[in-house]
Amino acid sequence: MTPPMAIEPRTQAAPLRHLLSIAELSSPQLRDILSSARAFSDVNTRARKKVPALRGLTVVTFFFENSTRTKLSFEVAAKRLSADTLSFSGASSSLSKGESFLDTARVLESWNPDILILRHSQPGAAHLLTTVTDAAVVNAGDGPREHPTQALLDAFTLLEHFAKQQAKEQLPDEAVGAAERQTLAWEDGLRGKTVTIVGDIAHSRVARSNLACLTKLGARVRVCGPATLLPVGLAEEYACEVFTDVDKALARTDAVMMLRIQKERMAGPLLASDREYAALYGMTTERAARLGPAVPILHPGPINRGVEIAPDVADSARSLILEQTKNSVAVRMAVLYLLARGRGAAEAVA
Amino acid sequence: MSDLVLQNIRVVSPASGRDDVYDVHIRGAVIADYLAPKSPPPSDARVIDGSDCVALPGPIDLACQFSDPGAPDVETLEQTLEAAARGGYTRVFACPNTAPAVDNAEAASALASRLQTHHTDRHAPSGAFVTADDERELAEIGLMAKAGVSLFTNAPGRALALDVTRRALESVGAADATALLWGPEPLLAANAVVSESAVSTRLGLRGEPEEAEVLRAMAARLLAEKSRCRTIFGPVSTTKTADALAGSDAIGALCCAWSLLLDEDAHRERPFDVNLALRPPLRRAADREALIEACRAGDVAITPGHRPAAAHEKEVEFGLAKPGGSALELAIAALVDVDDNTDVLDPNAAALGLAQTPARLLGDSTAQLRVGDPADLVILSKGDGVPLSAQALSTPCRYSPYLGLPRRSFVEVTIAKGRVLFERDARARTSSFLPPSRAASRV
Repeated sequence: MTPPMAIEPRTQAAPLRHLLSIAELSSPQLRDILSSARAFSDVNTRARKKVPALRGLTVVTFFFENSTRTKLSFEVAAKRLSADTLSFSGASSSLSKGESFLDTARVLESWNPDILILRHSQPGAAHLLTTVTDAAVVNAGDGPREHPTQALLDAFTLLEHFAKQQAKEQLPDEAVGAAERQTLAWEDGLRGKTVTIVGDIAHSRVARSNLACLTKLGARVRVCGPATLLPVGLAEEYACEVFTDVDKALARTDAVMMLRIQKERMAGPLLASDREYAALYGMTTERAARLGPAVPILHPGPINRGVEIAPDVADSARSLILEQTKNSVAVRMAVLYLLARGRGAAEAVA
Repeated sequence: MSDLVLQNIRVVSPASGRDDVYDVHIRGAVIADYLAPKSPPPSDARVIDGSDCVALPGPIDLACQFSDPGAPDVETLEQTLEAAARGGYTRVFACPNTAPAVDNAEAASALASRLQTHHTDRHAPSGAFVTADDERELAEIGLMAKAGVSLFTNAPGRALALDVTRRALESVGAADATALLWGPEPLLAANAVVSESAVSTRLGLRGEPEEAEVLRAMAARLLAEKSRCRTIFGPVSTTKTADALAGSDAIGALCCAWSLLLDEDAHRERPFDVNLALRPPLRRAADREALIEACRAGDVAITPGHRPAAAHEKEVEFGLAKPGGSALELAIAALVDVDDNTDVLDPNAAALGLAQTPARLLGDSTAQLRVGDPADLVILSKGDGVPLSAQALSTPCRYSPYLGLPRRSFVEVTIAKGRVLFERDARARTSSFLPPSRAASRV
């Protein structure tokens, strides 16, 4: 068994006060989260998957939109860090009686939580929440704007994948200290890689966070989707390449991230049919076969099988979908831990 | 009413070619004479020292939203009028979307009576194109015109079908009144809260494409030319819209003051700041610069964009926040510089954009500060550059698009038809709003 890694700051990253967007994370903070997640990944393989890092702290999941993966994995992460957890669902709250978001937040704040994890349909809701709480706030998705922990776990999953794949392509010893070689090479694993994001870019907070995250880690990012689902200004805003032809977008890519069509957020005539979308933009068996053999496919879920991805591709060896869900706990543990440490409230972890 | 003398003051009126320092004599409600600076005033005249100040023709707001009648808890009618006086406005047209709406002669007369009782006879209601209950049913435009309504509108944003718009313009034209058509195209602008651009993409907010505004402006121009109705289109926020309206005798353009002061980069600097939840949304810097030039050329009139809102309407998620805020008190302070070298509005541009272009669009030729014209003036002094704050607001609404902008000017005195409506106490650096009775006694 690999000895547990100590969770210690490796960089001079500023303390993490909130996690509202990838755009607001400094590169040292981003690297700090990813390297910490690597250590927490080890915790999740132990027989007793629990550390006392957040003992005595209260973590609240504050969700106004449906969620399975994100909500559960945050709860698992918090429990494995020994936090007390509280779950709030907008649908069954006083919001249905007309209470405002901020009034509900003030009620939660009166119970003195330490970390609030918010999902909301409105962009900027997590920023607004910080105005009424002393707790650290994690944005778990604010409309189509950002979903930073999803991008972090996607990056983590890709880094792990490329680390395994490129074990022999590490930087030479003279470029870095030998003791740091393994870690640095792992964190630099996306530098120069091409990652292609395909699907409903316009409504995707996952796409926006990944664009910010992957480019900060040195990857080249392509986005592809129907013209009706590509928001204006993408290329200039994110320094990415924009395609409407998926086969051109997938040429010589190193990884592919497929996105769900978010019909629940669509207003107006944006798509003709699922059939047309699947044919023109879906990851069909044939398209997957044309990718290089080592090119992985990711999807943040939930999956619409047969629409954006063929069932056999989703279940194939190149699919990293379950790796993403597995890694989500470690990444969210790292985020919660670093937020608690930023508040001076975390206990040491070994 | 005793004479009022504005002594040693720079008077700027590009429509009448006036830009020099005078002693301005006001007798009763009109400008009586221009004399050489520091001439001996009549013994019974009240003298206001205008040294280092500039007098502009009285600003006109063609689209002022009143919360009262309807929601006086947000802002009473008296508070709106006080804000207008403090902000330098001598004449405001109340949008018809009050409760009750101004869609009939009785409602128009009732609101006109309140506006004029509490202030001057310069303020007036505008009438609605259609009834409050049915956006396909024309309001009683003819009867409202007979009751004295001279401006009809769908401001601040009731979307109307083009066939209804056409008939409304024909009715307004027949009444020899002015129509103010308020865009944008609703289907293209649906649920938008910012301009459609890289900024909206970054913030994940629904964006309004500029074509939504341009399309409505082009339709408005065609309908105005067909109906022969004196028409204004607003709010103009893009270069393309201003271009679409340029060169037509049938239609003029109106923009909000924030479109001249702020651009979409403000959303990057202050993401999700509800003071920047605005309709029309903030556009590109190039649009802002082009609109300033259009104002300087006298092609575009300016409204401060007063849309008071309650705290519970603003302290919400950005996309759900009520657009707008308090504007009457701060727009001129933010927008006008008494110096001629400025990147915003110099006195000549301000005189045009705030007063003379709106007056021209209304078919009113009396806002030129000629001898015999109504004595509607605002006197401005140099601002201190201190960022405007909510403490500068006298109304309950604490939100404004102009908060944080440097104060470029102080409104020293607001005069409507010879009556001092507001005078800032320069010695104490405080200000006072003068209700009509006190104002009359001071003059």
